[in-house]
Amino acid sequence: MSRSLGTPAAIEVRGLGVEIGKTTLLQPTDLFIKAGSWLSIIGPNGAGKSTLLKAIVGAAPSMGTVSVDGTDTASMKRTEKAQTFAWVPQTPIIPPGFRVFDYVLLGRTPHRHPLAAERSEDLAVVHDVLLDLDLAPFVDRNVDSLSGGERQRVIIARALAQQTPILLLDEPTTALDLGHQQEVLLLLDRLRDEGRTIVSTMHDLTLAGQFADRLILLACGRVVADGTTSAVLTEENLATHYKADVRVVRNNGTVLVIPRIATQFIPSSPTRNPLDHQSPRAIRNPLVHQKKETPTMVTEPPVEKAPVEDAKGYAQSIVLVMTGDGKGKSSSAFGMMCRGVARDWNVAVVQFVKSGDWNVGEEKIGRQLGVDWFNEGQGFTWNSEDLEKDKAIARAGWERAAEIIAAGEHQLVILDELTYLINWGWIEAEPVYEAIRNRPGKVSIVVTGRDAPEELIEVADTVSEVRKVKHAFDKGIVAKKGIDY
Amino acid sequence: MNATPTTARPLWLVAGVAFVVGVATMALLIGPTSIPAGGTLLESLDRLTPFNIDSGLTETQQSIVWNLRLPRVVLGLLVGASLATAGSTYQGVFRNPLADPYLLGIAAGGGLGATIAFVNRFGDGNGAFDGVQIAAFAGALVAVSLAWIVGVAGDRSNGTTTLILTGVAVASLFTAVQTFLQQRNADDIRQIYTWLLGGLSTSGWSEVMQLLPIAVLLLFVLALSGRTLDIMAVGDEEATLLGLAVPQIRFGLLVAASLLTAAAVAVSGLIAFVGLIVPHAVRLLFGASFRVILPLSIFAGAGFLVLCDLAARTILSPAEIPIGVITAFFGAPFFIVILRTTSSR
Repeated sequence: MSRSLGTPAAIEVRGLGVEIGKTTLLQPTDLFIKAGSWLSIIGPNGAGKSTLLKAIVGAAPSMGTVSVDGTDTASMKRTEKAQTFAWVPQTPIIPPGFRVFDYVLLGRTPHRHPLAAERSEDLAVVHDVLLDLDLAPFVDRNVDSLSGGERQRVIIARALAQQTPILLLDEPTTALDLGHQQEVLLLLDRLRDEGRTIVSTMHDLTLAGQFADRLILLACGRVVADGTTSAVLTEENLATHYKADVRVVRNNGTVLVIPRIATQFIPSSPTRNPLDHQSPRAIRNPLVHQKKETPTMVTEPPVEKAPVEDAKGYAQSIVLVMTGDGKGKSSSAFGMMCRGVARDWNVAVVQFVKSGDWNVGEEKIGRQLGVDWFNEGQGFTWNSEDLEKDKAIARAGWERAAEIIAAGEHQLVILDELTYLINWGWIEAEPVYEAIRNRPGKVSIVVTGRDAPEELIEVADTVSEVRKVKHAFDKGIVAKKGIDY
Repeated sequence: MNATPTTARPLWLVAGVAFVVGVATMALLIGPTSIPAGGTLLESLDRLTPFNIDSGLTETQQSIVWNLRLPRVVLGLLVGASLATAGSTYQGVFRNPLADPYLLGIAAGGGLGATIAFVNRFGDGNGAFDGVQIAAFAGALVAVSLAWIVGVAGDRSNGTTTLILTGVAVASLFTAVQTFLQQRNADDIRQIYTWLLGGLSTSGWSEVMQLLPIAVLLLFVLALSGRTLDIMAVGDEEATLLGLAVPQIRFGLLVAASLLTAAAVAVSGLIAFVGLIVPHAVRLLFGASFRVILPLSIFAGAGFLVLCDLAARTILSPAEIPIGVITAFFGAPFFIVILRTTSSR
């Protein structure tokens, strides 16, 4: 049964499992892969991604069945299978000294007898594929002399010369730089649009999520999540199965997976120019190359002290305190967070006391907006069993906040519920006022919390008191989610 | 865009034929006895073609040309072509530039066979189907078969590493027995060593006629296998996924190359390095595709061995240096150069 490219092929996998000796590499797996779709297999190292791919194509001894449009691949002849599946290995063996044309021509193997000469049809197919993938200039080059991106295109070209309805690719973008990753993925995207069914394993979760129609997450040889990008790429899934601390940012249908380390504060040298503005994207997206500090920066002037007025009389930054016993202190602070983001500022929120089990709506939206969010509390004391532990957490939280302020990388730092830490004596008050007074010139600070101490009001430029007129709580209404807390 | 596959260009094939004819002619004309060059060529044409040509040579001279020089040249061409082509095939099948036709124990097996034949006086290594030749041929095939059976049956990974290592083990075993027999039969050592070092001295056409049919047939088969070896160059797994029956094809190619080698070893002893360096020289000069290497190895191997034989019998003329000494003497430095250039890649 030879297939033409015009008919996309669906793959049905039933009970597909791989064992080597007594070790199970892949638990029996059922999958239905829609014709003309792109399925990406993700998972930590050793999860069995490549094993599953190899089992589908029959390159690994396996139990279970794989059928293509209802035909069991076990009943297919070797050449028939090679006319159905094309395989792009992760690290193909490139014979030294092989010309690009000869290498791509190998893809015609299943279409002719090994001893027979190529027909003009075979040469025409190779010719077309090379033109299609912009490889014409390389046709006489040796494959082993090409760059990584060109070489990957050549390997995909060999697979395309097989003219199969199904492409299986093992880590097609690993070892490629950003531009070439995109290039290869856009190529596969086009091939999918042309009707090919694509199954790939992917290392880069963001890229996997951007291109595939569907993701399956493998862990320990088992499918643990299966579905759309946003269903599979969740912080919980990645924390559980990758043991990774990541932030998942959703933006316009794109899901970005960012290791926490890239979003956490990294202390910079005190000579760093606070005016050196980095766009939030540059900081938050590890895919975007960050500016490297050049030695010339060392000679630049030291951090300016606030408050300094610019030529027009606008303050470089201000300190704002929201206090009082009424509802709305934090809510207004988060309003300012949104304004800051709208001005393309780097905004940081440090939440004391609350957080932990508290699921704050602002945090969700803040993270989506690219705000650097730090939870430095464990809830209110009445939830807490160990006061000393709370104090230690509070002190660590303040240290983190002090570092963020001193670094001067954020134009707005919101210290939510900070006053409680001072009033309860969990942290020393004086260093707090010092840190605020000595902040780098462009860092504005918003502090919230009841009973703002005198000294804090002293260092602040603007202080508002939110007074309780009445509160639903007094009538016995506990809370309205979304409005309260 | 040059949308044609790499093949042995006609020009290269013509150059290959010219090289072989040139070297053969030179070897035919040079010898310890001085014979007019024109007469030698005319006598050869008279014998080899249907035309009746008077060469003007004396009867002795005619006999030297026809019974000594010409069969020796033709045998050199056949053995050289066989070893080089078998070497190319081995290198392709094993995807290993260090492979040669003796990799799986053919040399040790042939050597043991010949040793057994010599010490038991089965023959003297001359003439058609001599006892030594038959024993060497059989020993070579026993060794390579043993390596295959043990190496492939014991390897579940279906790769070639175990096969190669088994070949090494089999070779050691056969060499040990061979050395033991030689020690026990010191009188025959000189004769055995001469055979082991290889030589193309013949007793007329009988050895040539014995090798000719099998060599021509297998050279033809292997020369057509370039495409298949090119596919196998991407590795077993990928070649299989391209639709190739890798284990069967590997078996078939190794059978052909091993038979060819054993047949050549039977009549010429263990000529070293031809099967290793000629494929390399062709690869370096003309490209890595086996569609080029295999056909050109035939010409290059044939010409190279006849050239080495010419050196072997003229440098200390009228005494002869064993041809294995010459091929190794020129082959070893070349081999080192290859090692240096390929390992720095």
